[in-house]
Amino acid sequence: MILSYIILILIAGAVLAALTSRWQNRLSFYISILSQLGAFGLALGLLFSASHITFSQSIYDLNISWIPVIGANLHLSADGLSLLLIVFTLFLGLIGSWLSKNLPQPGFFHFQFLILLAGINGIFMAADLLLFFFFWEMMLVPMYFLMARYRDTSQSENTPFKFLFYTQVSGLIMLLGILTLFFIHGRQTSIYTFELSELINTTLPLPISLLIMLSFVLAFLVKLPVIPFQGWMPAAFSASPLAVILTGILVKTGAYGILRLAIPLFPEASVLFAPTAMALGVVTILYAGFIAYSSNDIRRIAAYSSISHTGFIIIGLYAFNLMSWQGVIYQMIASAISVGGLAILAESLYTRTQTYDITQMGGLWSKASVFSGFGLFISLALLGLPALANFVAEFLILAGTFQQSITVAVLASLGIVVAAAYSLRIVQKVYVGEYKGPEQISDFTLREKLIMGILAIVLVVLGMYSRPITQTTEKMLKQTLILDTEQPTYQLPDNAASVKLFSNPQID
Amino acid sequence: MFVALAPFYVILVTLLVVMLVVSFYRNHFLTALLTFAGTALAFTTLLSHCNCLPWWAQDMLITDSTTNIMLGISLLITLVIIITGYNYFQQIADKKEEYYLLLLSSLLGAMVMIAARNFVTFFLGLELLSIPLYAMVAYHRTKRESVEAGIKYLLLAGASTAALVFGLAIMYGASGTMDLYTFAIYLSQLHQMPSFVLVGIGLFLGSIAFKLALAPFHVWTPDVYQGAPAPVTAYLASIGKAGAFVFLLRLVQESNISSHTPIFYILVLLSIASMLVGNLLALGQTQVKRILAFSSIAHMGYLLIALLAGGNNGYQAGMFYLVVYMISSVGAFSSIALLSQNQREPAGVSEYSYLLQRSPLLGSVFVASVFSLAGMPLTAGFISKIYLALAGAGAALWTLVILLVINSGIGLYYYTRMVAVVFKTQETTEKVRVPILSGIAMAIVLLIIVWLGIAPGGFLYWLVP
Amino acid sequence: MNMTQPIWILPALPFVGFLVLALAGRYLPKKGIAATGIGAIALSFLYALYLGTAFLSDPAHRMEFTLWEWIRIDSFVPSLSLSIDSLTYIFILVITGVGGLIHWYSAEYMAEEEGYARFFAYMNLFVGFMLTLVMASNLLVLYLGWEGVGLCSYLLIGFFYRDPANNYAARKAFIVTRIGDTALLIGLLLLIREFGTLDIQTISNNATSVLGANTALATAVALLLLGGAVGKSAQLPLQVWLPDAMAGPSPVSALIHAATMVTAGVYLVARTHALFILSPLAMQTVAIIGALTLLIAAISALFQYDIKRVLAYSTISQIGYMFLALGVGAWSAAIFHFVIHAFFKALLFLAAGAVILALHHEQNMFKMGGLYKKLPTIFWTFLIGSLSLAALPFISGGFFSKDSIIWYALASTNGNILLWTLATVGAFITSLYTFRMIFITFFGTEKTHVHYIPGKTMTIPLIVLAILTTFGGYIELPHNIAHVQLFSEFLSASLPAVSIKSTLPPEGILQLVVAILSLAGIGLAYQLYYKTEPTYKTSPVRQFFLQGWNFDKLYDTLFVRPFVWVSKTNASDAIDEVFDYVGLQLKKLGNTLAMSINGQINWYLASMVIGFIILIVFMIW
Repeated sequence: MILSYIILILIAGAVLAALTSRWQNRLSFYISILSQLGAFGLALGLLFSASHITFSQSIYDLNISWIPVIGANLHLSADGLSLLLIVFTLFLGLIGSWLSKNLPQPGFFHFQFLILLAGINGIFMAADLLLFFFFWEMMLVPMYFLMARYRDTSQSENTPFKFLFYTQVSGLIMLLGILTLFFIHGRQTSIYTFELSELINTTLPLPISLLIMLSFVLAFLVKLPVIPFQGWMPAAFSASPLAVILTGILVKTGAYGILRLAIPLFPEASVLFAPTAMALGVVTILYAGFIAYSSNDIRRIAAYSSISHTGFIIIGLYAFNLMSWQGVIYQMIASAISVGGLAILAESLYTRTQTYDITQMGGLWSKASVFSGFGLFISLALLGLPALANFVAEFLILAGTFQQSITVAVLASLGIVVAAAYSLRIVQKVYVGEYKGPEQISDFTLREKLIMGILAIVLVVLGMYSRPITQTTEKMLKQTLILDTEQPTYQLPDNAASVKLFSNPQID
Repeated sequence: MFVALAPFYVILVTLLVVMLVVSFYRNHFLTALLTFAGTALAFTTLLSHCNCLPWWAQDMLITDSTTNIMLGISLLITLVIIITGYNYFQQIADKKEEYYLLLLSSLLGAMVMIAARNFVTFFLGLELLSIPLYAMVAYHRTKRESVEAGIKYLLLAGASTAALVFGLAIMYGASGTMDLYTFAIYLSQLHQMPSFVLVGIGLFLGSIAFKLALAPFHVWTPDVYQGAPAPVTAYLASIGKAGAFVFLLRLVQESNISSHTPIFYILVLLSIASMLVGNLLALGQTQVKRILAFSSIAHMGYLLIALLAGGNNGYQAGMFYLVVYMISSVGAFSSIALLSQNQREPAGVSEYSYLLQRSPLLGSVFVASVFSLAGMPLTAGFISKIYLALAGAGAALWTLVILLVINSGIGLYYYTRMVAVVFKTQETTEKVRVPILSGIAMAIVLLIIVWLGIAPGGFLYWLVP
Repeated sequence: MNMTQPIWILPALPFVGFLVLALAGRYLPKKGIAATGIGAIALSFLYALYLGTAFLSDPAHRMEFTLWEWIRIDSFVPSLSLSIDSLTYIFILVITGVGGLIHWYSAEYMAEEEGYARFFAYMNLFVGFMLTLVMASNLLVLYLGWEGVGLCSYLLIGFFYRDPANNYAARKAFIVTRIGDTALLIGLLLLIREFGTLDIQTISNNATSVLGANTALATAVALLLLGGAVGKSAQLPLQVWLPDAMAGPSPVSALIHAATMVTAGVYLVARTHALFILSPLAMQTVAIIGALTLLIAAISALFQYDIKRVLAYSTISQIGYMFLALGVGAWSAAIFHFVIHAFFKALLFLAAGAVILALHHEQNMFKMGGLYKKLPTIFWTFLIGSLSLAALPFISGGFFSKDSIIWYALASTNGNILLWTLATVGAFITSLYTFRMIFITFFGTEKTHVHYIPGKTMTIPLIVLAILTTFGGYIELPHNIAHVQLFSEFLSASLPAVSIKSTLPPEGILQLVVAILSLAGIGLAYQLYYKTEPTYKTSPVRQFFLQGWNFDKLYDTLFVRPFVWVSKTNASDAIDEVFDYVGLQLKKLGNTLAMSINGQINWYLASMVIGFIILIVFMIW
């Protein structure tokens, strides 16, 4: 029941913000911030109090009938992972709405933005497959509206179309998968339901489960995105100044989907799929990294660096061990923050220089040292410098993957070198060298300082102290892992040591 | 039982009253008011017995839940069309009033089709629906394309009617009955269908395909949709299709007709052709009404999936999808009607720029309707598409379902093109004046679209036969 | 007893200094900035001295302190834990001591430059990370420091950021070392897989049982770690970045690219010697890399005209000696040479820096000359440093440290005559290029006017270092001369002693050979560059050596160009374009279809009739 309040608060805030903006713009902003803070506090409280609860039968659940005719329920549930991601989404949300304080039509903005947040949090809470699908698709709409309304006028009107197309089509394919599962389960047990905890028990012949699994995974891979489904992301990033923050918030849902649905529902199939997934991951890391190196539009760099990060995510997911999974969750957060930071820098840069082209910039350090300092910091985060969250993420993923496949881990670690290449290129082009920008250029405003400061602190804290993340998610991950190891075909090629790592106590 | 047929009587009486009034005293407002009152009354009578048992009127009409639901929707939509059309026709110089006569009689035709349980009543209703429509389409007497559209529609519809009559004749010759259920029994008895019956059914299906604008009988749609006055297009696109589909649905549900291989494959063919043709044609278009015309072709293609799926899921999916489609297209076309000034409708996509700024309400309704047609989340179209996919998957019609997915992907392109411009903003735009009543009507449409998109449970529950 | 010493204060102090300077630096006066920067280092130096008292009683003493768990995944719990043993302690002293002197020197050297605060901030940050590196009791923490110092080196090489060339050098340094670091990281992954932990002691204690002696696995581990080491310590094949790193200010070159950071590789190998011992092959590789590097770099040094590049190549070469020592298992000898080298190379860089400053940022030796009159202090200190570098017998610390290495290159069980020869030839060339530098810079006719005489703040560190350089050697004398091996005894707790071959030629003779050769080098230099007025000549061969054996060109064509080419060719993301293309084609198809809607009523009728015909024909079939 409590869980539903998180969403209700946001929706209520949305409506209020929309109404109040008619006569008081500032008010709508504060209402939005307030409702987000409310939801944030609630989620945080739950996170601390209830990191032990398990998904789909916790006392906080809301479970009422939604579309009785087809047995779909409005079932919200949560465990450590969900709550962590919810908290983090709301955190990014607060940052995002703070950044967008001075946008025109705040009523419209905050309405859509809060609905978006509600939708994403819904994804993390949905314990009913159809409901999951509903939220999964629903968040696209406010996202599209925001992109269309606050679009980058230099781009053509319909740039967000690409984003819609990719996500929508892949989503519908997932729907087919869901329905197939629904019918198969229904015919086996003559209980027609979308309840996740029910459907998990469906016994599927391997080819079928492989097909359904693919239909799910496709949607998730598109959302992440993984090569070759990355096309929408650069387009979205250049579609609207908001897009980056928004995608930063929503990209994680893909990884969540795989962790929550694809792997638990289809363990065997997932194991079969693992080698392919890992290959995709490696390709993604390098392919995107290379493009990021040769792009001049800083938003494009942000897009492809984020894609490159998702390469690590996908590898980690299909390495099937605790270490890499913890790394994946770390990566979701670290990547979102660092890429988001780069995006914020891009916008700050644009407002000052009217260009996103880094070849048009240079020597910013001599004029705006704080700006450049943060810029440098973000670049370092992107290249995975130890003591920053991204390093922990990549390290854990690589270490975990190494247990399964040395080749993949080694190839993936090349990505670290490439990352250094492209992030330092930004530094090279923008902050150092002879200054070539407008004569008058202002340094960071207080708000920019605060926002970037917060992001920086989070990156450092998570980089040096991983407990907040690892502890909250450990339980859920271990359960999924056990569920997985029960499968006969769990063993991947060369993973002799993976068992050793988790069974043996530390040698002394 | 009088009460079961009350809506029909009420509409009939209203028709006569309006006719008399018009012939003695021309007044646009009064006429519209009477029409509105009549339709509203008909709707209320419907409410009074919406959950009574099915009742057969001399083997001619049937008023079961299907009939009542569709009648209700049709009447509501007509109300919306009357309200939103009022100012539109106010712009026309003279002879506004006949429009309402035509509307009422056409509506009566549609209602008869919806309730028909006999091929003869169906045919009667069809003609009663179509003939006024020719005039309605050509109502802009001074406008070339309007008149042209009217004539085109008249000729083509005439042709299809001829086919229909011929088809019905053959079917009668074969089965010796015009009654839907008897004919169904006749069909169920023969395991191998004689070819002349096939020809008859083929002609029958073809002419229905024409009414529903299924490819390859779709060619008339764009011109007529574009030429007709916006409110008429709204009517044509929604109610104009309801009767035919409902009758077809009855036929398929009652009989095993779609289990006969050739007929099954014909329906599949029509469905696939319509989806592809509709969407591909729409890609290149720049005229909003034409785009919507093509999209309606595609939608009818989707609708056939429900028909083919059959069973309860198929029936519910079909009904729900049809209803949602009707509401959405009325929303879209009515906003076009409200946007048109001194007899000129906004044609090109670019003319819808800044709409959200010019009139938040119309903007939202337009966006909601178009997104609902596109099957985007938070709108009714999304749920109805899910339901359609569910029915299809349940019946394992994989080809069709996958085509449905691909096509809705393609469709997004032109739908978003219409929507994207709406969000454009500029410093100064002249606001659109929306009359209060129309405003309320549109707001209701918006609410219904969103409501069905979020919590369709209740409505779907009615559809359980 | 005092296991709970808060040794984390050592790295913490410089970090605090960094934070203060980074956040408040702009508001502080120059004096305040210098005070903060130097103070932080000085304090941690003093604290280090205080901690040192414990070692006087027993060298085997070990302090440890765990801050908090960094990561916890089941049994894998790398925590932020620091520890000090004798090996670490030596490094700490050098880092804070020499580092402190260099900071002091910088206070005057950087006075005229912009970004005074930024400089000291970076320097403090570096010291902090360097201390983390050497104090890490856990390889992950070591990696943290490892990357940290890399970052600082990057920042400081590109300190004069207005000139893009400097930043390219910085980028090169970072990325080349990153390649090595990646090898190291993979090494760590392998260790995690095998040991389930990264705790250095645990690994060292269980190395033999887990990896097994002389196995492929052991070799793999050792070589991967070595990869990291050669990257950081600019050894073959990753030595290319160090000469360019001279773009940074001279104190930076002194601290990072001579005294401390570049020797991190030496530290790593010494620290993980337990793993290297398991694999003779790896040990061989280390020795050979060292020997080759020292020779190649020395020869390159012979052809440089930029005084700092001479010193850079000599640094590479000297670290080559250290690697040679490590490779033959003469652990303490390597560390000893590290200490002495830290003294004299820091001295040389600082002195060179003083010269450069005096000549208004002139680095070309051939534009200097005749400075011994103008800058006596600088000259004498520089000379002392050079004597050490040239390893002049008995009067220079360099002699003792280098001599023992050369001796063990032959005498150690892993040593052989080839290594010895390379080392000896290296010694000869070393003294040759050293005194080439001396003569060209300080003698001959004066070519550039001295416009600035360095003050006390700069000269005092030079003198201190000169003293250390000269007398530092006496704590470890060759066995055959006297039994004074304080240094190796001190280290014996943390590093194994070198194992000597049974049958050996008399040590004295070999020492004599080396001594004579180094003197000969000086003599030759005297002939070539003192007697005749030196002029800089170019020829293809000279170019080849000037460019450091054209390794840059080689790597450019092998790696850099291909990478950039691939990246640039696919800048527009081919896969994405495919999707766009398909979309375009669909639209075209639609437009073609649209021709069927031509508004001609007769065609419409026809199409309907056709439709019916299709329908019926289809059905009857």
